[in-house]
Order: sequence, then C-alpha cells, then structure tokens
Amino acid sequence: MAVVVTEQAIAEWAPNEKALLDAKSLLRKGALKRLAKNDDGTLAFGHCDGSGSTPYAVSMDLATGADKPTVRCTCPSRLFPCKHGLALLLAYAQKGALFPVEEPPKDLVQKREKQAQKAAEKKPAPAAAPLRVNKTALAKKAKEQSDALDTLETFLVDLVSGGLGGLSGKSIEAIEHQAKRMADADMKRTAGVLTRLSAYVSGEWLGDEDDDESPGVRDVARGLGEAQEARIAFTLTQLYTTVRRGKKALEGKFAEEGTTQSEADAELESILGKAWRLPDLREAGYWVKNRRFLELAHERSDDEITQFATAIGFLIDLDDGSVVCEVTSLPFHTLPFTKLRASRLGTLEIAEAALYPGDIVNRRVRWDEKVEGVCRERPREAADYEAVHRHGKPLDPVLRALRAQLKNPLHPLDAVFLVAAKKFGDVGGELVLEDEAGMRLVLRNTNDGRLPSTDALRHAAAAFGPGTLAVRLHYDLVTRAIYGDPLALFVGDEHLRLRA
Amino acid sequence: MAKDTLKQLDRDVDRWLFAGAQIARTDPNLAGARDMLAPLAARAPALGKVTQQIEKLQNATGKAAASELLALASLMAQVRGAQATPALPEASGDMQPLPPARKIGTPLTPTELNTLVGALTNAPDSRQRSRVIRDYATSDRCAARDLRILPLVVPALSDGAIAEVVVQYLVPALGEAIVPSLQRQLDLEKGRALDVRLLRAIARIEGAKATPMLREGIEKGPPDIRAAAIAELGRIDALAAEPIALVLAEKDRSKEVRVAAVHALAGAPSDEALEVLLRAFGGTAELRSAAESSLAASKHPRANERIVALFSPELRDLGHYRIKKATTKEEKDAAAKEQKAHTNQVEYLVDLVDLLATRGTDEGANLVLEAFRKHKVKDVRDAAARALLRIGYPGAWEELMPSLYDAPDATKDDFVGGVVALDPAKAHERLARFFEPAVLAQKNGLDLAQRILARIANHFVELEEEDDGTPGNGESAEATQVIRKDERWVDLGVAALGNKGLRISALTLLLHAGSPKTLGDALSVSREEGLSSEEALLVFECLGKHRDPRILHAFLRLLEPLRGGYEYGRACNVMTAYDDPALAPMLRGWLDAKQKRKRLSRAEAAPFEECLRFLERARAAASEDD
Repeated sequence: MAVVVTEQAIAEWAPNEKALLDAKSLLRKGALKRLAKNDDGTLAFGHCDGSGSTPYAVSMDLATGADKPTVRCTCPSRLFPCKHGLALLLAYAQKGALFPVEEPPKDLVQKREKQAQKAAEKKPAPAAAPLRVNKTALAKKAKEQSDALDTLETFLVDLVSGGLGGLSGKSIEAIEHQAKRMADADMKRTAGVLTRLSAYVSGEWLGDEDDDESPGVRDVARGLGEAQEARIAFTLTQLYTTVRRGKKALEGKFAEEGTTQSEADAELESILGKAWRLPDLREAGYWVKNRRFLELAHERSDDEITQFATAIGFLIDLDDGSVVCEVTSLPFHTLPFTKLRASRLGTLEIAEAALYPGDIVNRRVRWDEKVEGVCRERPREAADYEAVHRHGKPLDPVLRALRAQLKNPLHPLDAVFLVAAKKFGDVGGELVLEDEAGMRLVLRNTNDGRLPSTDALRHAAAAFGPGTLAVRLHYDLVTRAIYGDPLALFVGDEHLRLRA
Repeated sequence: MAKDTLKQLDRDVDRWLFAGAQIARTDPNLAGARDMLAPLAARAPALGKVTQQIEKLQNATGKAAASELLALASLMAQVRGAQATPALPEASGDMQPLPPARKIGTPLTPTELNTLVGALTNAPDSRQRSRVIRDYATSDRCAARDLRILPLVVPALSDGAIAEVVVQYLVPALGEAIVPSLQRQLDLEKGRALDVRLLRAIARIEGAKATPMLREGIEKGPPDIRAAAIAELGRIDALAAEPIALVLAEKDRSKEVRVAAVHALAGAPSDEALEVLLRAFGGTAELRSAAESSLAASKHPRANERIVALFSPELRDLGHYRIKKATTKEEKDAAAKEQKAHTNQVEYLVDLVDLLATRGTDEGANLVLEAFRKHKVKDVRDAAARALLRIGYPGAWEELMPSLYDAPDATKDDFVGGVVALDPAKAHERLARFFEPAVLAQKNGLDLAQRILARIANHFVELEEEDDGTPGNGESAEATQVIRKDERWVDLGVAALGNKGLRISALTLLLHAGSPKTLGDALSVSREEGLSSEEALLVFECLGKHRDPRILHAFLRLLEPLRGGYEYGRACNVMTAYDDPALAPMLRGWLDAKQKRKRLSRAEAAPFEECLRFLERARAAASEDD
C-alpha cells in the first residue's frame, strides 16, 4: 500500500525546521524542474536546482511497504530527507495529480527492485535468548536498595522531626545527596522525586536565582507560597509511601495486603527501577493484540529539573474506550540528533503492543516500531469519530475512576478522559462543562502556558457547539478540588486540538 | 460532619509537616479530630484507621513521632483522593452562554503550532520569524487558520519585527474569525501604532464592509488613523475614496494625511484628481514623492502628455547656481533664498526624471536620455543615469562607464545590477573588464571589483539561502538562473583568489557557488601561510561542501588561524555537518595538542566537545539502503 503524502506528514518527516523552510522556499522559487510520476503514481521524480553546477536528481517512492516514503537525492546533504526531497514531497502533496506520467529512470526502477529484494530476503530476527539471571547480583542490588530505603526513611524522619519550616541551604544539599544515593541504588524515579523536592524547597521551580553574593550555594526560597508548601508536603508523603511500599516489595509482601498484581508490577518499575523489556511484558501478560488507536492529544514538556524532554500522545482505544499514553522521553543533550515521537494524525492499527501494568487510568502503551506490520497508520474515517463519541462518558464515572487513582499517593494527580459534554458556558468568568445529568466541571488550565486551552475551547465550543471533550482532570493540591484542563474537542468529524 | 473534620485534618497534617512532629502530637486540633472521628470508626473502617493512626502519633515520642506523622500524612493522602470532588465556580449564578464565534479549525500539527507560536511570541529558539509566519499563512492548506493562534495575533501586532507580515499575510489568512478580537482592541480616537495596524488588518479582511469604519476613522481619528484610513479606502474602493482624498490632499492640516490622500488618488480617474496630483508633485518633497508614485500608476488618458509637459525648457536649461557676492544682510538673505529655490528646482527635476523613466513612454525616455547626456547639473545627469539603468535602456551604460569609478556607491550598485538585469548572459563579458590588472590598479578599481563579486555572489545565495521574510535581493529568478549556469563567474572568482584585496569577496562567491571544480583551489588556499581568520573560515565553509579525504587535513590546518568561541563554533558547525567519523580521532588529537600548548577556555572548548560528541556517536543505526 502506498504512503499518503500530506503537508502535515511532510512536516513530521522533515529532519528539522530549517530544512522544511528551505524546501518551501525552493518550491516557491520554482527550483523543481521536469517533475513526473510513474503510471500508478507511486514514484515521482524530477530535478531540483541547488548549489551544485548541475541540478540534483530527486525522487520519492511511495510503495515502500513502510509508513514513510523513500526519498532519494543526488545532493551531498547528510540530512534525510534533504530540502530538495522535501520540496518534491511538498510539490507532490500540492499538485501531484498534475504531474505528467512518464517512464521512470532506469536506475530508480533498479533501486526500487533492489530494495524490495532486500526486504524479501530479510530474515526474521532470531528470538532473543532468555536473559540469564545473576542471582548474586540481584541479591546484592536488593540489599543496596533496602539500605538506600532505610537511609531515606531516616532522612525523612529527621526532616519532619524538626519540621520543614527549619529547612536551610544545608538541607538542600542533604536532599541532593540523598537523591544521588537513590540513583546509585538504581531507584531513579525516587531520585527524580528528591531532585524535584530540592527544587521546590530552593524555589528553583519558580525560577528563583541564586544570590550573586554566594554563587554556587543554594538556599531555601524566601517565604514559601501556599502552592509550594502543598507540593513539598505532597512530595514528602510520596517519598514516605515509596519507602514503605519499596520495603514491602523487597520483602515480597505485596500479595499480603491486597495489592493487585498489576499494581505490584508497576511499583517494581516505579520504585525499584525495574526496566521492562517488551518480552518481559509479553510474558507477564501485559500484552494486547489488534487494537485501533486514535490520538486525542499530543503534548511535549521540557523538565528543566531532570533535563528531560517528553512527548506524550494520549490515545483512545477505539474498541474498549480506554485512554492510554504513548511516551517518548529524551535527555536534552540528545535532542539535536534525535527527535521525539511526533503527533499521530491518522488512526493507528496495532497488531500487538505492550500495555504497561498499573492501576492508573492512562496506562502506557508501547510497541516495537522496527517489527514490520506491527503498526499501520491509516487516514481517519467517519467510523473512527463515531467510536470516539460513543466512548465519551458522563462526569460521574469519570470522577470515580480518578478518585480510584488518587487513592494511591504514588499515582499521578491527573488523568485524561473523554467526557460527553452537553453544553459549555460561563459562570462568573470561568468556563464550565455540563454533562447530560447536569453535573458540572470547572475548566481551568494546569499551567500558564503560552496558549491557554480554555481560551481555545471557548472559541471552539461557541463556533462548533458541544461535543466530546478530551480533558485532563487534575487534583489541585491548594484548593483540594478537581478541575478539568481541556485538551481537544470532537464535534462530528472535527478534531479540534486545543493545546499548544 | 466527618468529611469536614477530615478536610481540616488533611490541611493540619500539611501544616504539621512544616511545624514538626513534636508540635503535631500535642496540637489540640489532633485531639479534636480523634474525638470527632472515633465514634464513627465502627461504621466506617477507613475512619477507624485514621483514628488509630492519630492515637499512634499522640503516643509516640522523639523520632517515632515523626515517623507516625509521615504515616498519617500518607493515610490522609489516600483519604483525600477517595473523597476528591470537582471544584465549584468561584462566583455563583447561572451558566451564561458563550459569545458567538466563527468556525475555524485546528489544522496545525503540534510541531507546526510550536514553530508558529514561537515565531509569534519571539520564543528564544525561534528563527526566521517573518518567513515562518508568511509560509504558514500562505500555505495551500491554510495551515495558519488555526483557532489556537487567535489570542496571539493582537500582541503580535505590537511587535515591530513581525507586525507588518502579520497584517499582510496572517490576518487575511485567519479571515473573519479574528475580526471580533481586533475590533475589541481598536480605538480609532486614540490612534496608537497598534490601532493603525488593527485598522489596516480589519480593512484587509473585510474589504468593502470596512468602509463605514474607515470613514469614521477619517472623521474622528488622529492623523495616523486618518492617514491609514484614507490609504486603505483608496485601495479598497478608489472611486469612493476620491472625493474624500481630494479634500484631504489639499486641506488636511497633517502632512502625513495629505501624503496618504495623494497616494489614495493613484487610481482616481477624474481630471480633478490629475490636477491635484500634478499640483502635489510641485509641492514639498514628501508630497512630491507620493505624487510621483501615484502619477506613475495613473491611468488617466492625458497623464503622459501632462507629465512630459512638466519638463519645461526652463528646466532643461537649468544650470548651476552661481554664487553672488553679498555684503548686506538683505543681500545675503536674498542669495540664500535664491540658492534654496535652485536646490528645490534640481530636486524637482531629479524626481521628474525618475517619473518620466517609470512611465516608460518613448517620449519620456528620450527626455531622460537627453538629460543624461546634456544637462548641466550633475545630480540630474546621475539621476538620469540611474533611471536609464533601472529601466534597462540600451546604450546608456556604455556611456556611463568612464565616470563610474568616482560615482556614489549606490550608483555603482545600480550600474552592476543594471548590467545584469539588461542581459544576464552578456553580464560577464561586460563586467570582466573591471578585473584586468590595469583597471584594478585605478583609483577605486578594487572597490568596484569587490562590489561586482558581491553582487554576483548574491545570485547564488538568493535561491538557496534566503533567510528572512523579505523577497531576496530583488534579482529576477531568470537572471539568477543564467548567472548560476555561467561557469565563467566561478573561473573569475578562482582567478580573483590571487589578489589579496579581492580574496574575501572571491571566497564568498565560490562558497555560495559551491562548484565542484573549486576544490583544488580551496585546498591550495588552505595551505597558505598567514591566512586571516575570516579567510580561513570562508575556506572552511567552501571545503565543507565537498567530499575528499584531503579535506580532513585541511580542516585541521585551517583551525590554526582561528581564535575564540565564535570562530571555533563556526568551524565546528562545518565539521559537524561534514559528519565524517574519520575526522573524530584527528580532531581529538588536534584538540589535545592545542590544550597542551595553551589551555582553551570553556567557551572555546565547548564547540569542540559538542562536535566530537556528535562525530563519535554510535553509528549502528545509520541510514539504510542505497
């Protein structure tokens, strides 16, 4: 099946913004010459003027069997696709129907055949040999983690014994030292929580800078605000819960206190740093087959504290209505060379995927992109949108699901749902959603982003009317209440993405 | 009741975490909560757990109290989650319907939106802001018609760097959906720079529908608003604007408005309008400039005849001003007045020559050629020369050459541009003579040759590397293609490398031309001693466009003349783009040796570290096939 070329798709395939801008510039200036396509329109080729003495031969092959076209160009650029290739893709997306039909150059046909041959010859990768378990190493690690948790418990008890009000610059150093200790014991998530705690305490979270007088020495932020205090208290509670549950996990006592196997496995990852491999997840039964997903919203967040960039796509399972998330996370320093997962514009048909364990609303989904045929992205159809609307729920069950998640202090304070909205309106300047049963939810953004999604929803709802809202319900630690942060509105076949 | 107690206890626990466990265990609120919850424990097991935990805290001492307080906090977090309720609106009252809005979708992908938002808000990582905005606004799928960017449009109109491109491209692309928010911000009577842009933006979207607003602006607005309103009205409906513009052009007290009104008369067909424009052409410099552009576009049947008639015998014979001897104050004043009048006449004549050339009639062009050849005043002859070059009038530039070396810079540039525009294929034959050694040795000969090389280099830059929203260097695409195909320019650049004074211009030309045959020459320059850092960087960039094993050694040689983080950064960018794994050990060796000789500062070493990290990366997942 041929790849569908759209301008959005091209934007995602572009290696960087500049290449795309340059491609548009080439197109505007008519640098592409002698454009043509083969009889079934799966090969397009032509020449593009560039800085070389002769124009570059540029081509694209849409029948590659992959989800991206193969773009070839004779220019020396190491970018892939290069700006000339992107210009050809753009020209094809805009006016491909008008390209004259010609016999493709022989070398191009040969390359295509060679590629098909290679794909046919490709042997399936041998099944990964089961990992050998080094029991001594495991026991050593468990001992280290147990010791680290003991130290953390003592540290927390010391902090609370005197009260957090007496925190000083030394306390921040101690927290950071503790974070290193946890990272050394392979409990990176806990180390991250501690790093975050030190940022909250020092005010770095709010953008406070060090005093010039004492460079390099961080101090406690002056006058902690209500929000900051609430975060610190909650983080401390999370850390204490981590200690308690981590110890139980090490002792294998989860089963005794009624924790589900799924949650116990999730905590092995979140507390004890177990790295799930896809075969492990398959073996443990966290595996789904033949699913159709549609992306509700895609978000990118940059965490200055942990120095990681994360892209999250919230996907609705069109069959069972659950909302799962696809997560890519990369350290900042790798971003010039790699890209975070882009937004999914079509409907995904997934042959098999891992669904991470945990008693949370938005479980993580992951599949192996490299395995042929596992993921197919096709254009969305009316039936997909009908399924989205069908899975929209009233507020009551949605709130119950969130409460169930909030009961565990280690779980996130928010979750994404699809809510069937009967109407949107304004109450004293606040945007409010009302469902069929008359239940209301105040919509408010979780942070002051550049583009408040509530503003976008006001416009969208006024113009298109109510529909099914993809909304992040979040528990606010200051007001101790639940708010909705709108992500996308579905009205008929319209998918209005509200977040930047 | 129990719920309220739990809520209060939850907040108290947070407070106690800050106050300390010793204060918590003796706090009367803790005891109060226990007394309130204990009777209910039998009915609700969760409350029983809370009560037990409170008692444990009360009974604990020393560090154990802290441990129990943390356990209570953990328990309360569970209770809080189980009882979480949706927030209530801060104000009470009925739900009001949302104000009506026009349908507009969200076609931008997250990546595209991020780019466009960055361009509109001047985010730290945004580049080529105007170009990004224009590209999205003019894309075939109307990508910029996205409701999420509506709140950013009005603030962007206050950003001088992008305001014009927003008015011209983005606002029309958004269409009527943006009009209500623009109208909310518009204050016709205040007339700030933002209001002028808002008025123009609304007029561009609404067209004829905006006429009442424009009329109101003309009536009530301050000068800036009146000027913008009459200009927009003239653009939208020249006939409707004519009677208003006729009055404003001569009666308005603001010069800015008079100028705008004269502009608005460009499409006016009446005799009266032509008379007003001709009178304005005889007015002040600003009015004359506006009248010149309006007259240049005038479709009035008698416009040519009337404009030619302005070139009177008196003006043709206008000579230099002769300074008269003046002794008394009256005589000096009279002489100064006379001199000013003469200067005005010369300026008038210069503009008239431009106008005649722009109208493009044979009669007008002959008058300009006559002025170039015969007029006594040099400024007039220069203006005529520029005008002739601009319209590509054949035969004029050959005559211009002798006086070219002493001409102002702008005239030289006009000349070079004119020669290229006249016949790009013959441009090399006509301009190569300026590179002969005897000509280069003349006064200003080197300067002219540099200008020629720079102008030719621009033709190679334009197609590939335009980097802002403005339309390149103004050369036609056709001329660019001809120049780029003419290999003689590259040969000329190579030959000019031998001349120290021309080397930087020649390297710039060769860099942009990127011809494969320049590799050997670039390599031989790289071996020369005493290269300046600018020359070394240009050779660096030239070599970066080729693939050859010798280049790696040349890179290392060229690093020697460079100094400072900026220059090293430029060089490292080239090496990163070159991306040859063989370069990594060589570069590391060079860097180690350099560090031993003289330790590089952090800013100097950082580009190398970054470059080496990239070159030494795992390449297992390299691109497939071909």
